[in-house]
Amino acid sequence: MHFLIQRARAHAVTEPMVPETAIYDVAAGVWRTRAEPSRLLVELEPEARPKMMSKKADVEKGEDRKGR
Amino acid sequence: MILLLTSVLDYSADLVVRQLMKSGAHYVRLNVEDYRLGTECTFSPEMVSTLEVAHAGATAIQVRDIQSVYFRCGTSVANFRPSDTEPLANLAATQWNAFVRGLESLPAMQWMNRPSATYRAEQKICQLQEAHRLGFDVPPTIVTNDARKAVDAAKEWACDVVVVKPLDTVLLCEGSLELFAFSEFVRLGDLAEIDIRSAPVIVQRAIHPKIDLRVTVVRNEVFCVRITDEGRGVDGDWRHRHASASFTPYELSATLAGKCRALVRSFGLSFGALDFADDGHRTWFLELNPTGEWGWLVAKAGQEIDVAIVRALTGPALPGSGP
Repeated sequence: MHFLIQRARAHAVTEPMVPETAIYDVAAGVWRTRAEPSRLLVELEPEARPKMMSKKADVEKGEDRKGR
Repeated sequence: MILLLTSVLDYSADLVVRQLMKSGAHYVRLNVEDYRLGTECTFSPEMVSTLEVAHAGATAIQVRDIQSVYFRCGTSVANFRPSDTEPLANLAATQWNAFVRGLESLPAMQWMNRPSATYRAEQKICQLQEAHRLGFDVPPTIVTNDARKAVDAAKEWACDVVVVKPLDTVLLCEGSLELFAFSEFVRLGDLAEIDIRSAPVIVQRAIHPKIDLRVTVVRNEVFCVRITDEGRGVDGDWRHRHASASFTPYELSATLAGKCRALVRSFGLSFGALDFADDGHRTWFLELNPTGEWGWLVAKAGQEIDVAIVRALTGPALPGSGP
């Protein structure tokens, strides 16, 4: 087995991609809370924010995007 | 008008949107997944190109009004769940991604960053060569799929530990599991036994002990944090310790900050995230991330990278940043 696969960290991918307590506002291009009064997710305290589900999209872990 | 080309789960883009809202700037955000949201896009790449976007709020974009483009597309395939490997989802993802990438022909005043510049800058071999040319300290490196060559190199470097890391992101699906490869320390005595025959890897002399530095360049502005855990540097890949790591703002020397700007500019970028390892004597260049994440630094280090990005997108273009 290739070294990079052998040492890779495995995570179960079973959860939905989109947090259930948030909604994407298409017109404004931003995530908001479903609960009223609606607030921008980025204005919540980090602990209160629903987690984005993708490994790559988890900014809290410092993962980097790729251009392709 | 500012055009944001990204993906729906790009949480950092929300930080940019928030600042754009505050500034009152006109903007439109397009995501590579927007087909799922009912967005309709039509692009006519002719002499006078036109772009029509219709979604909630029905926006028609006049191409001549586009001042800047913030491009952070990508990883849509990586963001897919295993169940999304069905043909239609794959088709939509790849073709929509290509559509957005093709918008590079838009005659915007400036790009952060141009897709073609991003792709070139992502090549780790190019990064290492350019960093070396600009006078950065670069750890001795070999790229190979031959473990014996890696052993020979490590002996030549007179080190007993090397770092083995991928040439490109390794994010794989295996059944219901997602596999992600990090940088790994390997002892010289174990190096000959590792299996790298089927795909080349980067092998570098390990820098340890070290303190990681994360540098974010936004045009001419340079932000830097030191990454520590319980006051000490993190051996190996600090992302394993992300939950307990501290990110402390740190001022780079003017010389090193200038080199960081020069490296980002040399790839035709106006944004770049750079990783360094400081061993107390020298600050070693590790890599450049043209679409590097930065959102967590706003909250955890108080660095106003979002403000700097919006300042750059809404300000005058720098020479060389145009089409």
